Amino acid sequence: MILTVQAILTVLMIVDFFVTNPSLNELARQLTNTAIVLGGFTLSLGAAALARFHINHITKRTAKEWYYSIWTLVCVVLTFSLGLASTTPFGKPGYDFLTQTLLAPFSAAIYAIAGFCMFSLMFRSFVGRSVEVVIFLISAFLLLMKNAPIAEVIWSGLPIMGDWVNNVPSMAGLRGITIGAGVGLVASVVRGILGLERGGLGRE
Amino acid sequence: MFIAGRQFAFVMLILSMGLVIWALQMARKGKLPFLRKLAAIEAIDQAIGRAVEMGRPVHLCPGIMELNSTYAAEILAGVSACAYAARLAVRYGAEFIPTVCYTDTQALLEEAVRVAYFAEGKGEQYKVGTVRYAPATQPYDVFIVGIASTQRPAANICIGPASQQSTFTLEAMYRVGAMSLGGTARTVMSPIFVGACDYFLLGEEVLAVGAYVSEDPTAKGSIRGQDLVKYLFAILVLAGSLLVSFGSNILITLTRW
Repeated sequence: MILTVQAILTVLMIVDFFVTNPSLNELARQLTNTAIVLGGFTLSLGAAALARFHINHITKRTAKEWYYSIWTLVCVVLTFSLGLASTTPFGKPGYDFLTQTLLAPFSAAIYAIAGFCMFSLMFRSFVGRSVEVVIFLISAFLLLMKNAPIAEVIWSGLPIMGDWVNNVPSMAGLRGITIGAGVGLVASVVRGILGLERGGLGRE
Repeated sequence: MFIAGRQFAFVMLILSMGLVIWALQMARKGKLPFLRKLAAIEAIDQAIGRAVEMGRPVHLCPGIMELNSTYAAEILAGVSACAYAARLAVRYGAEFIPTVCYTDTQALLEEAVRVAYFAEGKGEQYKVGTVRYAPATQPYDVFIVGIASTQRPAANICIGPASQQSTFTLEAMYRVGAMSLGGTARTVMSPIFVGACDYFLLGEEVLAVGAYVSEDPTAKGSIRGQDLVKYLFAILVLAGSLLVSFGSNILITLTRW
């Protein structure tokens, strides 16, 4: 039953992309909206899972974790309450304080750490003695030089070489992967329509 | 009726679907294609075995994007890979930690995990809420770092659409010595996976996971169809390059039909 509904909706959405028909386009739009609403409902599932997990830690007094669970739940309840109260003139300053003064800088700080993760990943990628690693290293160096102002000072040819690496071999490779992924998507859709792609439902 | 500029795409889509269906029909008749081994999928067994030997869990992540997006097919492929890994983990008695950062994916993965337990005849061991959720984006980063430092997974399986959070996941898991198996069709994240994973899937390999791990041999036939469509596109790219080199824009005009 689920697979039949999936197949019908898939065909409908594909046809909607190619055809101009007011009734069909409206139906597709409504279905997309329904999917968004259903997705919204799953938020309650996430909240329930989060609460269950942390309440479990608190009741079992899990070593080194239960006090963090209390703090997590306090933060969730506080954010939720302030979010609800933000529609009133009294609640808005509290919610703004939470999002702009606390959440935004914390998020920015964590996002910045991703840069250090990148450096670490790059370092590990370059430690090796194979032809691929040498090609990877040279390409990375040229791309860095393409964007670094000092490259022009060292030798004017460096940014040109970096541009070439970016626009020719790198672009060709990326387009190849993109076309391959598109083809994979088509095969995946066909399997979905025919009821052969059941992994997403946990069935093989 | 047809939207101008999309007619060539429609013809190509129908042609591609036709080739995939033909390959499926051939597989149904018993003409199964030879499939080259996908190292990352073959290594799932190894990763689970490693976890069992070390007495440490396996971390599973089906991608870091919303299901209600253009990455839906890739997420489904990620869920397929996680379902396969979960089934092996249940079979060999390895602990596993499935995590998600979008609740729509959580619902899918929870069902896949439940089915994995029942398929292995260990339904009584399944606990509701096995899949752990932390909201995207930064809370999930912190959550993963927490899991890595407290649970110390022996293996990390991240197959599906990747984003900046994947960098955190891969780095955090590397710090605790976890073996990483990854895969993404997102070209912007592919270099990071290539650099950080022990085994990885690239591009369309990710989308073929569902068919590759399927016990239904006909599903594998679609991979042959996928290859045929790739040859078709390769011929088109080559023909286009030659035609443009000789000053003809006929193929470019055709693609805008």
